[in-house]
Amino acid sequence: MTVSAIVIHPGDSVACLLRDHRAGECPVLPSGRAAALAVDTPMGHKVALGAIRKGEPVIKFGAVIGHATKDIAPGDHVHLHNLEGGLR
Amino acid sequence: MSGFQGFPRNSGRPGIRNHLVILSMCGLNAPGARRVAEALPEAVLISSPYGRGHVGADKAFHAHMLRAFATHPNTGAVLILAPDDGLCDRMEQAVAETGRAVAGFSLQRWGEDGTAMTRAAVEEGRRLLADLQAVPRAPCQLSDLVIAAECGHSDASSGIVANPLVGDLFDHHIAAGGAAVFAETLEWLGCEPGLYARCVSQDVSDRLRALVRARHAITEAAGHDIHIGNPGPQNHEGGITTLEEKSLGAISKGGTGPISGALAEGEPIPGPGLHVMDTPTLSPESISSMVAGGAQLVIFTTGHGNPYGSALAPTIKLTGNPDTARRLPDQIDFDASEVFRGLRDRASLLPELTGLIGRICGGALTAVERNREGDEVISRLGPSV
Repeated sequence: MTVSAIVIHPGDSVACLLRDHRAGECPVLPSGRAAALAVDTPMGHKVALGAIRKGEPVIKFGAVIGHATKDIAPGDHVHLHNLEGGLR
Repeated sequence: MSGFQGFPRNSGRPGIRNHLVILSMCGLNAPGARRVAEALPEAVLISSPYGRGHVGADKAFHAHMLRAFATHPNTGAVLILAPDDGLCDRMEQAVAETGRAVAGFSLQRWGEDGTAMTRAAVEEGRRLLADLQAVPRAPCQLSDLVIAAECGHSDASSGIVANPLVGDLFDHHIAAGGAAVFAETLEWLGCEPGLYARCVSQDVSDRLRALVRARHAITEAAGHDIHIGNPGPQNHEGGITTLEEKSLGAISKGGTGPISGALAEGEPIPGPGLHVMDTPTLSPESISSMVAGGAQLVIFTTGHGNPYGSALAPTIKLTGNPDTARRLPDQIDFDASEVFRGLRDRASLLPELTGLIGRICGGALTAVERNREGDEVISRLGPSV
């Protein structure tokens, strides 16, 4: 099975998609299948590996890239609608 | 890579090239310098379009950069073209002190006859090139190699594959005793506290803070708010949500190690370890500043591709974008796109990348060298008078 998503740093809470995925598809990580995607999600975008509660940090590159603005479920697309950076 | 075959120098680090540099010190010499360079295609032309009416820090920086190129590890000999004897003699002496062959030509000495002067410079250049070509390579220490990282025309593959791969290389090279540097101050936006925390001492983090503050003061004084529209719609479409995320993708090419030094633009990289340099964002200015600081090799990651590199320091073009690798095979030195296609894991590419670096340090040509896309530029720090 060809890998279709990547976790850049071992501590990350999101994976990056290496191609466009359809809703319901499970991205394939080197370590195995991730949770089924909630919506169609394009290449390069982030999906949640586990649950992230509203207000919790989102980790990519092993660092905080912002905080969840609502509860995020495994397989959710993580983007402008549920993640906000600290700099505005 | 345990070492490389390079060119040991009497003073300073060894070169991975033994270039004849045509150093045109002033805009008055630039047209003549272009004629000399056309007649000596093996030589590297470094030509300043300025050279008079600089004041203050800008004047000191211009002089420092010219001298840094003329005494760079990859410079074997120098052909100086200058407007007057004073400038010419001072540079000639500075180069000679490093043990390099040098020949100076000033318009003043040649009675302002640019035609006769360039003809003589070409003849002298041919002699210097013949001498350089007779110099054999010799074993050099990897710990004397300074690698600079740059990114340009980035896309989603840059932050996900190409920059983290260069970060792996930096971590590996520094663990083996080498030195590395990355730059472009405004690309650290929002991640500066993380960089300060990685500094090896309070002095280094204080210096970095001061450099960042001064760079931001330039944009503020010009009335720019660099946070507006950053990240922009293209970033958002590519999957970048926040400014911290965009910046982390850029600085991931610096690896994960402690920061041993914070340097001003063009400042010498003093020793082993990871260094950060405060530079403008434009790649030519940023790369030339790191090369002037002593980097002998540049790794330039790109998403959509771009042809540019350093003239003096071989520049490896690396992409993680499969379309770019396919579209520009003659411009890309290292294709990391199999990671982006899910066929390879990133760690498995590091030995191939260090292997390529070993070959290029030993004399194999980069795409930039083959395509003659190299240049060096000197930033302006203020207006002329």
